[in-house]
Amino acid sequence: MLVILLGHTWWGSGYPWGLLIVAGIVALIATTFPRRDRGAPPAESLTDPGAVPPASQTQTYAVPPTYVEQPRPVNPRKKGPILFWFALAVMAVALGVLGVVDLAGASVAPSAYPALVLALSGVFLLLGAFWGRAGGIILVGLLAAAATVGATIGDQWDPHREVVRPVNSAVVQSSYHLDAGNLVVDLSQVTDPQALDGRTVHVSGGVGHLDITVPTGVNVVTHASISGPGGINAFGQDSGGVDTTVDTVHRAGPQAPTLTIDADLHIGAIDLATGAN
Amino acid sequence: MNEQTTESGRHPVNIGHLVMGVAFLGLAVIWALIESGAASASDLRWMLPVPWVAAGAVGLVATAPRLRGSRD
Repeated sequence: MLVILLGHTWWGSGYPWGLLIVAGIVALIATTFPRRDRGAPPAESLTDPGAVPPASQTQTYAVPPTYVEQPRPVNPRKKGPILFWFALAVMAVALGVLGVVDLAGASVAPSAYPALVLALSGVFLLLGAFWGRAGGIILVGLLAAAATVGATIGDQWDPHREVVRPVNSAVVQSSYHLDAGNLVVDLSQVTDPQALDGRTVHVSGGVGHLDITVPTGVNVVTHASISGPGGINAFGQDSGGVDTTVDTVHRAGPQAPTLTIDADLHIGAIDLATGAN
Repeated sequence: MNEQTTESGRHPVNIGHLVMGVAFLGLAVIWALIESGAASASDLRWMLPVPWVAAGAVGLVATAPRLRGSRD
């Protein structure tokens, strides 16, 4: 999630969420921990223990070390009750009530839960700006904001699905591509698979799922790779992780035509299987 | 600050909490607009900066008395 926030944008808006989260954490640390270089002089000070007495008193005067208690200055903005635990309790109650409403049948979006925490964090921070001590609530709000972004994307994002199902070899293209979503390339309906002999079909995508089905009775040489995280299932051979490559040969028979499939994807999954002909 | 305000918990404005509070509430409002259908995802391009601009403006207004030398 953090990698997505730092490396990509939200719905193509180019909004720097990663930088905002880092800035918020820095602001939280800066406001939570007191500055040590000002406003807090040492509580005890030694009044010149190494002073040299006048020459006339060297025999009779000895300067004793004297400690003077100084009151520690109080930060005027740290007055009043600590709101953090009370805010957490209110958030818990509010989430519980929202859950009850959700279970009762009302239409509650999943992103409503972190959004509720986000809103309450804002309310308590505004309260704490004038009354009480709201330390720690900024961190809760940042986490809730990140969760709200993720849940809202999950709510709103409708992955694009494109299905290609050619009926003969003449309309089988040499390459298919989809930036994001689900790309289905179904060659199982090709009525003349013999004409696919020696052909190479490139199937590529950015983020999503490549679902490739080849006709039966065809030898298939497969080069499948995913540069980022993802998984590949090529004719029952599973592989997954980051920067995954699968090279496999599916043999249908010595006289069968040979088709080559090159499948490339950045993030997601690639499935290759044999379909009915 | 008098003794009464100290005991009541009221204190000089904490700028950091004020700014982040406004920003979080603004983000929550944007979420409500998106979920309710009043705004679409394409509107986020201009809506997302609004809470941060508002939070910064509020912070500047709250900081102004201190810049003039009055330690509220």
